[in-house]
Amino acid sequence: MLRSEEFIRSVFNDAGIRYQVQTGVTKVEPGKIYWQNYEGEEGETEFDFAMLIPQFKGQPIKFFAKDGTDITSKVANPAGFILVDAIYGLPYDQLIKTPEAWPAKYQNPTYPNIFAAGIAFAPPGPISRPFTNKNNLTIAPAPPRTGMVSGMIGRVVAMNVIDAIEKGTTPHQERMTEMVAACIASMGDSLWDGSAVTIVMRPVVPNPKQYQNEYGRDLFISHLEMGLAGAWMKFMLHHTFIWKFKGLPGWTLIPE
Amino acid sequence: MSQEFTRMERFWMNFKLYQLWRFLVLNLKVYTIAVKSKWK
Repeated sequence: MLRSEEFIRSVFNDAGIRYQVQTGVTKVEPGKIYWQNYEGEEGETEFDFAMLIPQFKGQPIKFFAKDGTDITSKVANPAGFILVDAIYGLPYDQLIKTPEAWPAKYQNPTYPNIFAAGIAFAPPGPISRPFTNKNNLTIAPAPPRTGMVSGMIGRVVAMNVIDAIEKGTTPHQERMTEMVAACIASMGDSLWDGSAVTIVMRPVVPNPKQYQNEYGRDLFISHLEMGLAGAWMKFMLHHTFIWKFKGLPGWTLIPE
Repeated sequence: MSQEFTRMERFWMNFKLYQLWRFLVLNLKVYTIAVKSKWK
């Protein structure tokens, strides 16, 4: 089985791009990036063009009750993400064995009229083992909550809001430990010789309770491949997505 | 797999007939699982 890390290395090599994995950036100056790796070694890399994804953080919004009391700690975590029906504070080794720790309804437990979809909700923890190097620099990816995952959580929240208003109940739920998601990363949009990577993952967050293998995922569904078919998929996705956004006939049949 | 795509892998990645098959399979796969999840 091909690991995603090996695949990414192959793609970078194929495009002639130099890469460094398992490295955390500590400072950026014009034309120069300073970094530390897993081993704690420090270094710098010069660049002409760089794309950096900043640390994932919420907005520092303060929340106040009607009487003026500060309720921020009941609504959001210190990073600014909205607290929902997750089990927070579990250490990683326990979290990975507790799929129920991931939120199901994305509803704030203290204020049930507050929901948070997509990147707005506070995840209960990381989905891969957090790593801190010998210099105390944390090198860990954040759980993915954009794209299809956001769309699916948005659907759960929207349907619950409708039911809460009409029937006073919130029956819809889907945890990221149950959710399936697909992602297409384009690497050339030509319909003749373009290419894209198609990734299908079930569940998005590993669930070793349900899928008892070393990955905690459904290995029949979870799949990654690269080729021209991906470019066609991306083209189709682009048009169907806009069709869905416009609410044109049949939009409900189009997946998120 | 090594850290580079082989010639054979590159061939399959752009072989139109095979990619048409993959396009159909991937669409079916994604659509089936997405619809299944939708009606929870």
